[in-house]
Amino acid sequence: MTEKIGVEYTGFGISFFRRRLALVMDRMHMHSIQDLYKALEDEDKVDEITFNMVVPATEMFRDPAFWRALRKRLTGKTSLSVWFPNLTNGYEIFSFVVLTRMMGIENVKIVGNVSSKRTLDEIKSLVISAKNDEVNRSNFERLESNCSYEDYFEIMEDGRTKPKSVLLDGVEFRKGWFITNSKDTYDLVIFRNALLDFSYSLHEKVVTYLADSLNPGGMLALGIKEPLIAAVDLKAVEPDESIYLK
Amino acid sequence: MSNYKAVVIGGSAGSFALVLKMLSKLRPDFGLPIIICMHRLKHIRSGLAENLAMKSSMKVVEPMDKERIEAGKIYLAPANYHMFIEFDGTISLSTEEMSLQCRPAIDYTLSSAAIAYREKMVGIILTGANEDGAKGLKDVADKKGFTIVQDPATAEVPTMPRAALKLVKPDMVLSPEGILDFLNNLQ
Repeated sequence: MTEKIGVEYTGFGISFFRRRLALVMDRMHMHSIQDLYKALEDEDKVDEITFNMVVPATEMFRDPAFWRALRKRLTGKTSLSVWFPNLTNGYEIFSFVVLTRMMGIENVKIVGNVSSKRTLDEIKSLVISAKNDEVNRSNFERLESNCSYEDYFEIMEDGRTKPKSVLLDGVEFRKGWFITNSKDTYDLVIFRNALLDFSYSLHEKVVTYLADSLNPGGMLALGIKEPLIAAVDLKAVEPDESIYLK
Repeated sequence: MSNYKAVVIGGSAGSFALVLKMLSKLRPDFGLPIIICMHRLKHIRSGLAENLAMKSSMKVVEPMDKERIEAGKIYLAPANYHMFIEFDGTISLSTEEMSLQCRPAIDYTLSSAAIAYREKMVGIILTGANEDGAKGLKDVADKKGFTIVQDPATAEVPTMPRAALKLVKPDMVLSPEGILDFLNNLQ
């Protein structure tokens, strides 16, 4: 899978990988490892496997205290370069774009990596069920802002919600595993709850890579339950929210 | 010495007060880790562990991912994360999809503990309003772990213990007082 897909599955946590692969095989009605090998020869199925191997972000503005802390850290910024190394659906990127719009930061350059074409398609055409929208709205309200949810999201005739299309204007998407030879650096890297899936060694490698991808004074945001176990020159500026400064 | 390496407790509606009471009466020298997975509001991160810590002489933590499990500590599944027990004696967390509308899911904690500890664990299902935990407790039983279900007659909401009793013939069906006595006599 690592060879065919290009994602470093060899560094994923063993129990996570087994669990996730079982789920993927179940979803794709694969009954044996031979079925998996066969699927890996089919480009469309490879994309489907890659899509399903990813754990989707659970909700928009997950951990509102994180977004409030990030807002505090970004106050006063007029321009910003941001990288999402592993977008799993639209929730994290739309949360961030809405935050910057609320704050009036106009010059924001965003790059987002996706591992599958289907993930990209779903981000671009994100539609939120009424049930999920309820969770997103209540998280949004916990941001304690003067802005209205409807400034950024529109309700469709069937009761579902979608983000306003302008929100993704200017966002650059890249397909593929995020560890490359690129020398690009950013003011902010948001990589929340993906380290949970990795073994110690990949965790360390990824955090080191992400730290190297930060500009001096740049920030790395991890999930609130992800410890920073790599030896990198980052200082926790919002320790409860796992925001680190280079 | 106890033959067990851990106690894993699952509960939902009504279980917080019960766990609080049990921990307050647990022997101060209780030497095993206690791993607790309770359904909880996902947006409320603080309060639960602090309240448990106030009543317990054991240290209560909401673990970070990859945290090592130590004897004599209480591990509480964090809000909005699944909690798994790994072979190497650590905890792993996950934001994977909900199970039975739950994250954390008791089934995941119990099933992973069953694989990690096999017969050297005690699995306990308390009061609760859905069927989460039943399958996990069956996995514990299948690996010859010791299984306890709260007597549904004593449960504030009996759905969870009843669901467990449908899948498992537990080693014991006990009242909350009986569970406490069992734990205090473990060592």
